[in-house]
Amino acid sequence: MVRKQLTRRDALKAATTTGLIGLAGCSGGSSSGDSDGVSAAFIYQAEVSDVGWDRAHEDARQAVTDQYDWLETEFSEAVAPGDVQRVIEQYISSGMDAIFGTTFGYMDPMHEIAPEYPDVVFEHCSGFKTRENMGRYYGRLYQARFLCGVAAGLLTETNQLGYVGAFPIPELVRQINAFVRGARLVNPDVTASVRWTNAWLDPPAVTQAVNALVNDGADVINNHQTSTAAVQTAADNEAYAFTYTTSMADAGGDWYGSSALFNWEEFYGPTLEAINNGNWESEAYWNGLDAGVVGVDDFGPQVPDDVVSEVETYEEEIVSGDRTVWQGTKFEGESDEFLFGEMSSYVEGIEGEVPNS
Amino acid sequence: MAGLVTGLANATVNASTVLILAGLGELISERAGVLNLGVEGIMLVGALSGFVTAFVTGSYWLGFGVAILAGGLISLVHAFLCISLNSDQAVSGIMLTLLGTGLTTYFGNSWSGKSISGFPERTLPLVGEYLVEIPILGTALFQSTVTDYAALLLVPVVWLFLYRTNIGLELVSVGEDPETADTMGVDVFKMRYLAVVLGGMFAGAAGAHLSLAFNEIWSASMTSGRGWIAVALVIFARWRPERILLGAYLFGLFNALQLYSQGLDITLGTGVPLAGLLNPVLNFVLNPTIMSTYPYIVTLLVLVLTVFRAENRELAQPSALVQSYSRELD
Repeated sequence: MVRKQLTRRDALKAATTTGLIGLAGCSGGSSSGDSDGVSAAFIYQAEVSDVGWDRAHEDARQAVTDQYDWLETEFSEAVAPGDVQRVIEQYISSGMDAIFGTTFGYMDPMHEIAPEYPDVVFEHCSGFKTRENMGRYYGRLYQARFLCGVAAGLLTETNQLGYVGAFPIPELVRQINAFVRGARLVNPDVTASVRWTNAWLDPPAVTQAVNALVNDGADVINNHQTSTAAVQTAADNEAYAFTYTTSMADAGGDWYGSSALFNWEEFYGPTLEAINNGNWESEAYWNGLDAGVVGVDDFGPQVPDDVVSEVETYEEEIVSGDRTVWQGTKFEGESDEFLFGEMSSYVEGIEGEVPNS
Repeated sequence: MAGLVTGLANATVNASTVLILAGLGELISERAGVLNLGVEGIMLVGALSGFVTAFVTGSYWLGFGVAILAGGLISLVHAFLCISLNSDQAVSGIMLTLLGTGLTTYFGNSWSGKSISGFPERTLPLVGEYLVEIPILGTALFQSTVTDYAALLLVPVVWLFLYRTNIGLELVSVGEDPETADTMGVDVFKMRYLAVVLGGMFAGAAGAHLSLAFNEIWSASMTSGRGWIAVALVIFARWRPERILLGAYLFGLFNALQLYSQGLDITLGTGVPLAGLLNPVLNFVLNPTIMSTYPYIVTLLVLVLTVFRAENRELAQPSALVQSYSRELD
């Protein structure tokens, strides 16, 4: 489902480059650095809804599009990884300078197609492969999860936290660990329990999982699934709920804790500027609170001010580099490669073991 | 431990309502000889239309009614293709699932993330507060939403309908032997249309239960395969409404166990003989991903057992299931 608006610039480009796209590299007619600005396409795996992963990217796309008058953007949603190469080629033939692919499943297709279009900038979110003209980017969301954990540790009365996960992969294990680490730092009595639903999206299972956790005594819930089910079920049980990617304050009502947010515009803005200035280089971007690319949502109405100010203290320490999330854990000093792709066991305080996925 | 069992009972009953409703609907349709693999898609249509109606009007009752109507309407597509045009039932049903999933994802897009207040949990009037005190099953059975009670009540209602009313017996006869039924004056086409639309209404209600009572949200593909479990459930129940209840509780229990067992340490200690060998087996058997396949494994077992128990076979599957009927005699 490609949303395409034909602009005058596209028409001019099409008129002058028809049949010559393959030669653009030789003729030095690369669009980067040209005064005619940058056009970028954003590709999402699902339809963009009001909350969740794609929403966060789409909000950021709109923000940067409004911010820069030299920038034009388009987006496609509901693009399956199997179709993404065709969509990319369509965009490139219409003159796009940059392609942002926002789901893990696009990694291999983008990696494969990137060498064919050396003048186009490819950026892939959440993967681990790069090329000379393909960068990768991600946010250290675990830092924001850690801050939510600090709040959770102070809010819990039963000293029991619950976490609903989707699949036991390093990305999720890292965020669970960070959350529980944050809680135990301010409240060493805290323990946590995890339930895996084995689905990225299954609201009834999430509701069941939250009920199971509350049944076990958890009074603060965090989750990793693209729906408001966890936040809402926790609120029904009068348990605090934390979540991620976008705000879900409406669904949580009085019992909303907060959300670990992606602010992708903090990545898209500088990256698009670099493309516009002609100094873009392929890199592995993995920044966090200090770059503003991740953050914590406003806290819910019942979260006391002293909890919020405690969270802010830790936030300042992390931003200034005085503290890392893994300080004092068995993961202290581990490399980014390990943290990003290999973390597969729990920190202290979490019951059970990470199941074999 | 008592807390765990009560929680497990609650979760089992909670998970089973959607299966009872969708399973009864599929059973009615199959009893008339029409397999409907579109349950998943119809449920989604019911879930979205019910949610949107409740959101706009503020009435969850109206939402529930609209969901039932929408389920009946969309299943007319299946009825027309399979009964009037004699199309392949399996293909038509799968098409309906894909259609329902696609349409609801597209039109439901702007509704995800919104909340409504749906059916509240209630106890029965007068006796309710005493029944809730019953250990273990009290809250599970007697502190529920209206849709949970309705699902339970519909099991005997469907049984009475199919076996004790004229129209129900006609419906069943059409699924067993449409030609004879036709000769006897039963309108095969009308009965099959009725069964498919009725089945669709049940599936619509099942979807609405999810978005109006269970989750009170709309989220694309929120049925997450429960429609397919309902299809398996009918086979497991061997086309008997009372066994739908049993099967739904069993499948609901697997569903609940998958989440509740994760909180337990079930590894055998070193003192237990063969612990070294048994622990990997336990790990495998209790792995959440493996557990989610149990409803299907049990259904397979039932199918296999049926083959060995020939005397029961004729009581099970409607003889004319998946067979289209044409009046033209050759």
